[in-house]
Amino acid sequence: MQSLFAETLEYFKSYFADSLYPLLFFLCLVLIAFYPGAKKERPSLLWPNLLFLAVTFCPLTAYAIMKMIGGLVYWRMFWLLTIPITLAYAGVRLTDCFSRKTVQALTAIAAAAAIICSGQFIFTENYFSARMNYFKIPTEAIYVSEVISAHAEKQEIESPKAAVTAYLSVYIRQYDAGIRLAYGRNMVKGDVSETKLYQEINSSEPSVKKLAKLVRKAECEYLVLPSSLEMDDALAEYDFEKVDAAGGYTVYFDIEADGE
Amino acid sequence: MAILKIMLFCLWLVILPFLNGLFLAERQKTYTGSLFQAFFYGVIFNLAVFEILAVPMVFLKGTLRQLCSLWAALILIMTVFSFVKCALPLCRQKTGRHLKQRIKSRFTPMLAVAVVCIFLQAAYVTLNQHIDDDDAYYVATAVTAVETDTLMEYNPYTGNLYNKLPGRYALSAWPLYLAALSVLSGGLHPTLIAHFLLPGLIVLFAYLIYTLIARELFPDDCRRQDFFLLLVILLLSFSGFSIYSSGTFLFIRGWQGKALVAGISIPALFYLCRLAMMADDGLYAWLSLFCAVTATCMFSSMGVVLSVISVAAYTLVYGIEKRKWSHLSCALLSCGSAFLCGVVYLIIS
Repeated sequence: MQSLFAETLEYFKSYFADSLYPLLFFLCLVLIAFYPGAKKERPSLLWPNLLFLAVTFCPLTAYAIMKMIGGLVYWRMFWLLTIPITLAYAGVRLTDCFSRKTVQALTAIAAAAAIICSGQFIFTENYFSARMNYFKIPTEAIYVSEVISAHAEKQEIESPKAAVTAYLSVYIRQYDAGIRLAYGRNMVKGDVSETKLYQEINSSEPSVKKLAKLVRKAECEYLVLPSSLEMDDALAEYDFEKVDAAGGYTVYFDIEADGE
Repeated sequence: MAILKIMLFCLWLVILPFLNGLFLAERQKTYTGSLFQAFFYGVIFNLAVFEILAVPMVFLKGTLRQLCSLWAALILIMTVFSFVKCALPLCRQKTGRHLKQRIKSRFTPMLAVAVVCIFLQAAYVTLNQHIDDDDAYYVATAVTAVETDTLMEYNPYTGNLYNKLPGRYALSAWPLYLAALSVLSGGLHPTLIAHFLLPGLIVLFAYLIYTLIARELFPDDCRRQDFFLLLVILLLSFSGFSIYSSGTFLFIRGWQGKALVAGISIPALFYLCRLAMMADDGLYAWLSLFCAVTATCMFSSMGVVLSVISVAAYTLVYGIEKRKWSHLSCALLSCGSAFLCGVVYLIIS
């Protein structure tokens, strides 16, 4: 029981990090609880939020909910707290505590300053970067997909399958779902040979012999490797033809697969 | 051609929901003629209808084209009905001059600042990017559905056929909604819809809900409504303290279902629970709450649990406060889709 409470507390700490939003939230709940003008809103702003906190921190309900949604995402319970609504409502009511317009304006400025000092601005490069393209996926994934699909069309391969690096495997099918992949993101539920292929393709110095064998075992027509590895000649010895290089990656085609 | 596709996209995402919402909104006791309110009801109604059709079709192995046809037919029938019944009389009553006068009388400097900030935020999330690896599932599911004309039959990570349905994911049809929008807008790429067209619209929709909440909390008090909205803008803008906060989710990955639960569903449930329970807004308010709960289930499996907890908390509080429990059965019924999702999940897992 104690460990569940401690776990929830950890989630609470990670959710709010270094911000003072929880403190502001608590102060606003106190204001709504005691300010007579906010009495009407207590059923929608005060009690439900206290109930959400109680349900989230109570070890019994926490245990039941963790069983349902999984412990790793339990922090999402804090989404239930209507923080923006409660804080903004309390901010408005705080200005109502004063009758003089100038004091009201100063209170409003103080409320805004409190929010700015308590949180962290979201529209920064911590979270956003300049758009690479309209699809907002790495451009190299688009180049590689285009190369594979154009070549597969020429070769009349209906559903091409590719072995690509872990980085590209996340994005290729967001652009072209006609390309099948040897393994998915983070090797989800892969079997032993897929794991070996994953390890080999993502190693800094892959063995060409092993790679060729594993790619064929996975029934892939295409192999995509970083161009910096410079493996064109070595792979040619194993009947892998260079199709094209784009976006820092080289696409190879398994000639033996073509013959089947 | 691209402009035509974007116009079709706007038709399905903006115009039709607005027309449908008029019908639902006009049947609420407290409806004040707000066009925002009509649009809000229309969006949640359309999403709920999609979830109700999509989940059984996933289990019956229907195709995406079939799902699109069925959903589009139902929405269009509802739109025609709503247009004749509500939109035409409204057009006769409210001329362009009437609307202009209303906007003029409502205009305040504080509101102007709020509107500018909201549009700047929407533009920022549209013009910049945040790459999230979870899209390897969510967005790829939509792209796979369009490519294969199936409903969650293929593993989006690899493109291989699933051996069995993807558990709880099969109960939340949001990625299929992206796929349907792609088909119905004449072939706009689902990734383009998710990453470029939707994030800004989602931000605008979130603020639309906060505007409705402001009107509900401070009726007939424009100054307080505007100040409330400004504070909400500030609070959400400064919610970047962790990657988990609902504000962060709304802005950086607004196209994902779980972000919609955090940024859209929670305030929407707050608003609708208030209307249904506190304002005693009648049967259609409960129907709207049912639509919101169903839409939340559609967004994410997490929404199934969170929507039930949310409605249960408001029901309990209002029950104790008003010493009136007659709304208990309505609250239970409004969570019907979430309960059903829970039962189906238990069976399939």
